[in-house]
Amino acid sequence: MTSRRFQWIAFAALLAAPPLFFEGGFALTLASQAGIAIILALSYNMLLGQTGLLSFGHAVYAGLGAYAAIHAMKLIGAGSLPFPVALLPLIGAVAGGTVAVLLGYVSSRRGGLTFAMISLGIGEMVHAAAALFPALFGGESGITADRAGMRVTTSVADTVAIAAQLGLDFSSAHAVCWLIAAWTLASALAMYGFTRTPLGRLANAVRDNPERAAQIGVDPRRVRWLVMIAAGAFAGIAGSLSAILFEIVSAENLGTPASVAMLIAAFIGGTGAFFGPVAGALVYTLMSSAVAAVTPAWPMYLGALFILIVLKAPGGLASILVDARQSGIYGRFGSAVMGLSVVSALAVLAGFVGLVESAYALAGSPGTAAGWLATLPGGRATGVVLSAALLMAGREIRHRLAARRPMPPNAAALPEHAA
Amino acid sequence: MSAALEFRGINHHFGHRVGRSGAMREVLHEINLAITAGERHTLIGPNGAGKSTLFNIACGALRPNAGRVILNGTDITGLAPFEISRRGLARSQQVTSLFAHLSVRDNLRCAVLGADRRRYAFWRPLEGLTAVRARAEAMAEAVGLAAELDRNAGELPYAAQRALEIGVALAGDAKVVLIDEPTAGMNQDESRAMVALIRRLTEGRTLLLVEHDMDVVFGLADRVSVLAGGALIATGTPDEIRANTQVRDVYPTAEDANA
Amino acid sequence: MEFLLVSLLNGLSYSLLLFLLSAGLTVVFSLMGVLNFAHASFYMLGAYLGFQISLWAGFWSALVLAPLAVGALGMLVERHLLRAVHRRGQTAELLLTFGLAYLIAEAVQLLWGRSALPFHPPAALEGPLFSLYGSAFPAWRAFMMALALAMLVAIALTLRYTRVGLIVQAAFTHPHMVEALGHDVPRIFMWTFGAGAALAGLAGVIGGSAFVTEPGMAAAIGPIVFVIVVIGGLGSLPGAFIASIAVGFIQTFAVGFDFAVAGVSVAQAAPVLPFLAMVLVLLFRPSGLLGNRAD
Repeated sequence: MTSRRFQWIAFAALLAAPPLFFEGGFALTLASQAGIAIILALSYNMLLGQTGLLSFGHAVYAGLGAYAAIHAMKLIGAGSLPFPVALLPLIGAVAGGTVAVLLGYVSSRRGGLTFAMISLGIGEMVHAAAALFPALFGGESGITADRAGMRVTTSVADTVAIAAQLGLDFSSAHAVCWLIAAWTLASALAMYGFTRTPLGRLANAVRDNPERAAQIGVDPRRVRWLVMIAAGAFAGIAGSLSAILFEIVSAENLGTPASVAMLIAAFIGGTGAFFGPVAGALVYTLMSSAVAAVTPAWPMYLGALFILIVLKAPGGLASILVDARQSGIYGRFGSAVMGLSVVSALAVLAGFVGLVESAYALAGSPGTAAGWLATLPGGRATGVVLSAALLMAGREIRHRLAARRPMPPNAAALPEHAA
Repeated sequence: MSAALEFRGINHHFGHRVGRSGAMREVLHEINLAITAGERHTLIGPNGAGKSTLFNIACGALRPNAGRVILNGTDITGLAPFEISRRGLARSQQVTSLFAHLSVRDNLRCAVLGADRRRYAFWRPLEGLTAVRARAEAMAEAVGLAAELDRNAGELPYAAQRALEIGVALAGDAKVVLIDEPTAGMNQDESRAMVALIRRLTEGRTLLLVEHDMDVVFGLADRVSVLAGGALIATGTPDEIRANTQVRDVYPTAEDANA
Repeated sequence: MEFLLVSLLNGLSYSLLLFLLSAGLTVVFSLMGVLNFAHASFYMLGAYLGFQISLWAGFWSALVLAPLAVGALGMLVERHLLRAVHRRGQTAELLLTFGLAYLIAEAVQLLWGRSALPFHPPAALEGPLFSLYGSAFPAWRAFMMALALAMLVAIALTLRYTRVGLIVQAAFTHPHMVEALGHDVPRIFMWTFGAGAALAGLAGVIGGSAFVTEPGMAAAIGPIVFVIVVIGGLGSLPGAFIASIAVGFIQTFAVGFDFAVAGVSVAQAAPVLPFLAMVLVLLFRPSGLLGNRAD
């Protein structure tokens, strides 16, 4: 239990650090995006990790929540809706949850592959339908609203009056980052609480064995539906926060690529541990912003990481950490083997990155690393040869290490319920 | 004495064609069987006789083409499995069917919750339902798994999984219990322990059991029914069944068991 | 009238293309239990490789070689990636093929750029096959129909008269029995997956040249193929056929209609209709038109 408490304190500290130490700029935007991504990934994992529902359409709930919030913001800005901006995510939650009541009715009857396909179809349907109603969805350009000045119009509510006294004027990125951090912590706590309720446990039962769940008096469809509604509401919270942060919502927020981002983040982080998706959301946010700033190849790295996780560590990054700590795989060989393993992994990584960057440079879209490679004597060709050599050598070392390493005792019994 | 579970005129065949001929294979034909409240009733018959199909019909996994299933006087034909379960009919599977990634405690706790109206509660912590937890732990004790409460069901040895299987079926306190081949794949000691367990746990309940091991059948059952080729060919006390020549023809092992 | 006839033929040729895709997906699913998320990506690869090969060796070589190349890639994927996660079940396999689809989409943009390619049918087939009062039906469309029909007949014959075909048939009715049959299951899986990929590749050469070859083509047609499989009933070939025809015609005809319902014209709503049809079917027949499998 103390370890659990420590995790929550660390999590809260992680959320509070950026607005504490930065006044503005890239770090704050990044932290705000990360907070939203964390809520989305955790909400996604209510479906995948806890209920066994692989969804390709979860962005529908986040997106519609975002639309509800941006319309509310416009009304607030026009002075016709006295509602505190800080509580906008509640509107998003109601919107996301309500939409999930309707769409969940259609899609909750089956789990497994059928659910996955239906969720994709429904996501595409909502995305395509958004184009038909430009007044609601803003067509190509989306709907915009302006946060600036919202303090004045929302001072009717006590919460914001207090916030205003503290200087929380939502025209500043700093205040928004605090707002997002607070909602992220609250949402995460609520979602963690959900895992420890009767419904949360029955969701696990339906994930593991829906037929058996039905035999003990549980309606699997009802459980899936209720979890979808809850997950939809949390997605709606995240969507509203993105509306507040970016002051724009467009049909992109509803589309399959947005849903896929949640799937990738949750799965890479690990669906079997509560905090797994948090790690995944951080990795995803870093890849799509910081890594994207130095190389156009970032989706390639993300996809490769995803496939690597599917193949080698279906429990995600979280399970790698837990495994390394628990089983002490390398203990018998001492730290030299451990070191060699890390070095060879880095060699494989560097070689792979070198090859991918060279390929992108060759195709006419070089990133920063390709620029470095080009400065080598012999230029690009040397870079390719060197990368290939690193990759091969690293692989070879890893193969030899693997041959000598005893199987970890519980390798066969790793949690794989999401897979 | 009233019937706890009754099959009336059950007919069933699978919907898809078998082979190129397109002939329908009949699986159950005109089954009429009443299980008296409080009795231990055993269903025997060769493989493919339709025993598991009858179980699937009773618990709602299959809908019969014709006929009715009556539970405590109410028609339950065509109800969903979860509705039938809530009306007090429990079933344990022939192939172990548990919640593999949940602990023994949570497997049993889910089974208790399934029969509880707070099952879908998402506003109160599970740990707060102390009665549910106590029931689950008592059942773990009863099936001999008190020491394994925190282990995942998927990691238990086979015999322990079979015991948990029975525990999950009974944790909801159903009054009518269907158990499908509880001793399959067990050695003699394990099998004997399982029979004792079933005898103890089904005290005061109605039991319908499918079993191949004749020692188990004749040791446990008040009455025995014989299913062959999709039809019910005899029902009676173990002695009557042993003496029945028709039964001997289709099911010679019934004779081998000595009383 | 002539508009109707030409639309019918256009709808039919598009439907056949959709069925070529959904049939491959269905056969692979029925035999292997794998829902191949990358099926539409193989379709896209067929189009891109077809374009590339047609530049070097002409269209007709591309029509043969591109599907073979995609098929070979499919076999490699099965042998080296899919097989490793087979034991972990259907969701793991779906996630793997999803990751693959993600990578293929990125790789295609890396190799061929983000804009549409000038991939066209051969000049000999670009003209109209016949004209009816000014509405022309392109010869290429006719060829496309003939080729799709030929492929479907070939699939039917393979299923009916070859050993592998019989195993696949057995898999339709008894999905879990295949491994008990004692055949070299891994090899059969590899070839089946390869054949499914090759069929998708062939559909890609046809579809890419008839419609458009661009990086979004997989993401556009993939959901449609899934919708077809859901409407028809997962694992049912006849169901996939009926649904392909229905969806193909809905999409073709809706574009031609110009009356409006509640301020939205049917033509505008065309992209929504297949998905709406899926929702309606699910409301009234949860397992699809001809589906009876539990999952």
